[in-house]
Amino acid sequence: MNCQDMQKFIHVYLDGEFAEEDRRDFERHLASCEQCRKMARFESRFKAALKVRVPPVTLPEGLVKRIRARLESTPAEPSHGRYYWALRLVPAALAASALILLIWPHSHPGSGPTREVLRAQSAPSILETIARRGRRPGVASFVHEPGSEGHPIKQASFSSSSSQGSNSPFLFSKNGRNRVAVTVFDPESVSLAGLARTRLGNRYIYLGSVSGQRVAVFRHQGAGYAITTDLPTPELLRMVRIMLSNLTHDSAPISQEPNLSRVFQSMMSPDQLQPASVDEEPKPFASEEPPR
Amino acid sequence: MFKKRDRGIREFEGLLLPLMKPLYGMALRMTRNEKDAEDLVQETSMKAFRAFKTFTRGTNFKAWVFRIMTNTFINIHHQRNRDNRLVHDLEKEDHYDRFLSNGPARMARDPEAEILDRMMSEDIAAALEELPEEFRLAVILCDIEGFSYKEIAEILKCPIGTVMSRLYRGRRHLQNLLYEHAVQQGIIAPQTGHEEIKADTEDNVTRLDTYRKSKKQNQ
Repeated sequence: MNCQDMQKFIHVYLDGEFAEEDRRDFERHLASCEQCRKMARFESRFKAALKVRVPPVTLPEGLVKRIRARLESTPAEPSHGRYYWALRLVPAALAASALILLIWPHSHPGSGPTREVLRAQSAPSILETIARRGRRPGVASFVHEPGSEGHPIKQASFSSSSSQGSNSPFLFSKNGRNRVAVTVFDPESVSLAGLARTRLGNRYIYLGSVSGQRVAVFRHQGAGYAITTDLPTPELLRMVRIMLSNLTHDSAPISQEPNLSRVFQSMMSPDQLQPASVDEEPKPFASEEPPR
Repeated sequence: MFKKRDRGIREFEGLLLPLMKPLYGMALRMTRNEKDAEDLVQETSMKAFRAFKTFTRGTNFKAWVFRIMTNTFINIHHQRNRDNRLVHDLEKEDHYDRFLSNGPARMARDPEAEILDRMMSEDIAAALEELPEEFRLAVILCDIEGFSYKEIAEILKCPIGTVMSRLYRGRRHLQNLLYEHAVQQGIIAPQTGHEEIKADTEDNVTRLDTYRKSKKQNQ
């Protein structure tokens, strides 16, 4: 090793990244070269000074607490690699309620839905939160991978198997004019202001509108669901029925391994039309009186 | 209703919370302001938690989290000012290269290498801020956080050769900046007669394999 090489690789040596043999070469040269020894001494002191003299970190007040609070209000771990959703519970101490909006695409048969998980600040009324999302034509797909921001892949364009007629449950135009969104939320933490209660089979659902779109809200096994769409009401109710029937037939409780992807795929296919099954007493939402 | 998650949270927090200081410190160096730094740490924590299932227990959690944070930061940054930033950084790198010498740093050559002793924390912090981002991140990850070259390569998602190059140029540039500061503050007199040595290219700096090859040829 000559002095030129020493100059280039001094850092590799000081960082301890040399393989055994190269390290010995390096040290052999060092032993015999005053110039390089001086250089090595300087670089070594500089590296040490960097580590020691960089100002120490002071954490902002309460940072750890805030992070822990957020972590502990997040629900179950992801069920599958990239497909997951988060349902936020409201700890008694916090006033904020959280709503998660899932936007479901259905681009091509066979490709599962992908989802975006959005954070919402405190939102007393579910309609408010849906409205804040605004109106978006078509349905956007998002892929969420660890460490990367979700980004829209493309505006999904659908082809339903029968694009016309009342047999097909959903009418999605090929240029993505229609929008369907599903919100999952904690029913204890939202108000149903602005919604009208109606019966669907053996349960209550709540209908309303926001930003020119129709909303149907219902509760199932401790979770609240809101379907928002610009499709007409009969289509919306059909979607509610399909979703309910799939949710009730899904034996796994929501808190573990929810398979919403399957539920939604069935929502998209016309042969899954089943009447909502009678499984539970219609339970009122927290502030409601029981049905008569 | 959600019992399973409590175990996961405790395990995750046990790994994450001891890293808050280095994480926040790194975030601060990346974002350069406290509010954004906290947002970045929050975002990173949530993403890491959601991805926790993909983490192989027993491997380097710190490197894993740092990588998530770097990804997050780069994505946010690139979303904000896409094309301008990339071009700007490339230009900056060339600019700094012009002043990189092939020989020992000016600080080392200067008879008053006591500059080192007079380096105040603020000087170093300020000089670090002035470094182009790629250099700054590499230097912090290596000299301050103590990651290995391999880990830095994974965190920054670049080849090890690039890591070595960025470290070399980053440290050199840092030294030059500190030298300039010292001259400006009158700590040392500017030396005349410093040769302007031609700038190194990335190839010259990092080719350990070239060195090994030439060694074999000479044997």
